[in-house]
Amino acid sequence: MISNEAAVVILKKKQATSLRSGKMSRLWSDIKRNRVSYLFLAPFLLLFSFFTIMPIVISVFLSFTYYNILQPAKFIGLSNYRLLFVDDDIFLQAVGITLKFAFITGPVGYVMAFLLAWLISQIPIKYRFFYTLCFYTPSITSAVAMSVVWVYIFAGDRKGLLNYHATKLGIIDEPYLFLQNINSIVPVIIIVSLWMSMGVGFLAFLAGLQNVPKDLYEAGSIDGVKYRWQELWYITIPSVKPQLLFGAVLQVVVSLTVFDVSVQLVGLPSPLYAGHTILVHLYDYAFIRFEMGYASAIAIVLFCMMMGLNRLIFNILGRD
Amino acid sequence: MRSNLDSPEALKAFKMWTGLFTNFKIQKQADFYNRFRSGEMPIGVADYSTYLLLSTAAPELTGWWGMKPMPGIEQPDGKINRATGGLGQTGIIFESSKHQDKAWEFLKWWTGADAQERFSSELEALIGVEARWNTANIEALERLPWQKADIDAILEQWDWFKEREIVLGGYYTTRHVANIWNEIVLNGKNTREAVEEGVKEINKELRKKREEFGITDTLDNSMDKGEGK
Repeated sequence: MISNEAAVVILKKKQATSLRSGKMSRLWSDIKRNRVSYLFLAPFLLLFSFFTIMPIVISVFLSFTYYNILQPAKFIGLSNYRLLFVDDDIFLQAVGITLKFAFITGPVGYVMAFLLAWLISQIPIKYRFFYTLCFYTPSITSAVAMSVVWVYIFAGDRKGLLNYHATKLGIIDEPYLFLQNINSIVPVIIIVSLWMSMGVGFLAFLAGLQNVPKDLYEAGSIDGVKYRWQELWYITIPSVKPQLLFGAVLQVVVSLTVFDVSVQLVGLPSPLYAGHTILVHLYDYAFIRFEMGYASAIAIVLFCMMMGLNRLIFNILGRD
Repeated sequence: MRSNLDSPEALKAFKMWTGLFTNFKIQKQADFYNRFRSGEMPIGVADYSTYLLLSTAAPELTGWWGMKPMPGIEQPDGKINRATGGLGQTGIIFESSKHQDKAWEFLKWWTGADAQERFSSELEALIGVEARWNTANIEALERLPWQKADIDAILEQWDWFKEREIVLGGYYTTRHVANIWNEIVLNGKNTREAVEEGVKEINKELRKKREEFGITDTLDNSMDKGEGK
């Protein structure tokens, strides 16, 4: 009420000024009155603008320029985007590989993370920590440490783990080059990424599952819930919807930005571009060819893809 | 400027190289370090990092192995052609720099034998053999306390050092040589077809990069069909 009156007073005082500046001054007086709240917001807001908003804005700007780090950026309009969509076969291939990858690891990793979190939350709390650690560890190990294990398993050497046993069993008669053969590169990256996908989303599920009120289950059993699946479907999933949304958003970002796994396993650039995801393509242009403008254009396309997919997820999971 | 990888000589070389895998079924991939230790592969062509690995991580083999010049193909005049490339690093001074003379003095000092020898021996003294500095300054190299036989091998190989021309977009050559190998050996593509497709891509990138920096082709037609130096 007070704020409205104050605004009216101000409006009356400055009748000559336009409506727009009236709005601005009202906003300003609002800000002044709530300055303590803004003070509390400031640390996050400053960091967020400097390290997230600004890079995005600069990147958008650079995507319309030719920039090679040494010379000043030169404005070239939409040229980068035209090249990207019309002339760059490898980019289109990269989009294909990334989407193929995202449509498999995304949903599978997501469902797996949820089911495993649910299973873990069924076991006694004493052992829960151990299992959580086991599933969570792969996602925090660096790609380098990960590759030590998986490169040995998939080694094209006759003595690589898979090749050795497959040869011994007589399935193959000469070693299969998992990390060189274009048919096996994407599946290998998918397998390793799934192994690593029990990340923050998984932890969020776990925390959410532990916070589902017990009385809901009791009420459910009174109302005739007979099986665990019914419990899961009718009580657990609706109760952890916020975590599901959070996990899905993270999963989209993770599966569209696969980079480390691909580079560590199959190299940069991968054989015949078979493991060439959008981010690898971006890296290729940014840090091998130093065409920063073009790389920014790729980044913007990736950014828009993520935004679009996240909107889609919000539409599916976010509505109540 | 275009790549000379589609010349008859290059094609012959590709046929020979990939033939080792397709016709003679050489192991396509092998962990040389471990096979060497176990004795399965008593001889191999490997890079400097493998040399370091073997000298530091395989102490049980110390004194049992040595470095030799690269194997090669005998030429009509009886010599063995051991030519191989090596990583090229260089120092540059910008034309627009205000301290050109100082930069030149610095580069002379840094690449000189004394500084390289001192840097090399101090690095090795501090970190150990695994940080052994392979200086490109021959004078400094000869003064370093490495094994005599190894230095002799390096110096003999030195006469055969032959790096390909560093050109704009040269990274595409390495990339597509690997891709051509992959197409022929793993996907069973015809050699000529694979090579020509790769060369097309290389040429495209070379042209693109030259256009980007405004270099015209008329100046160096002599290099056009370079010998792949």
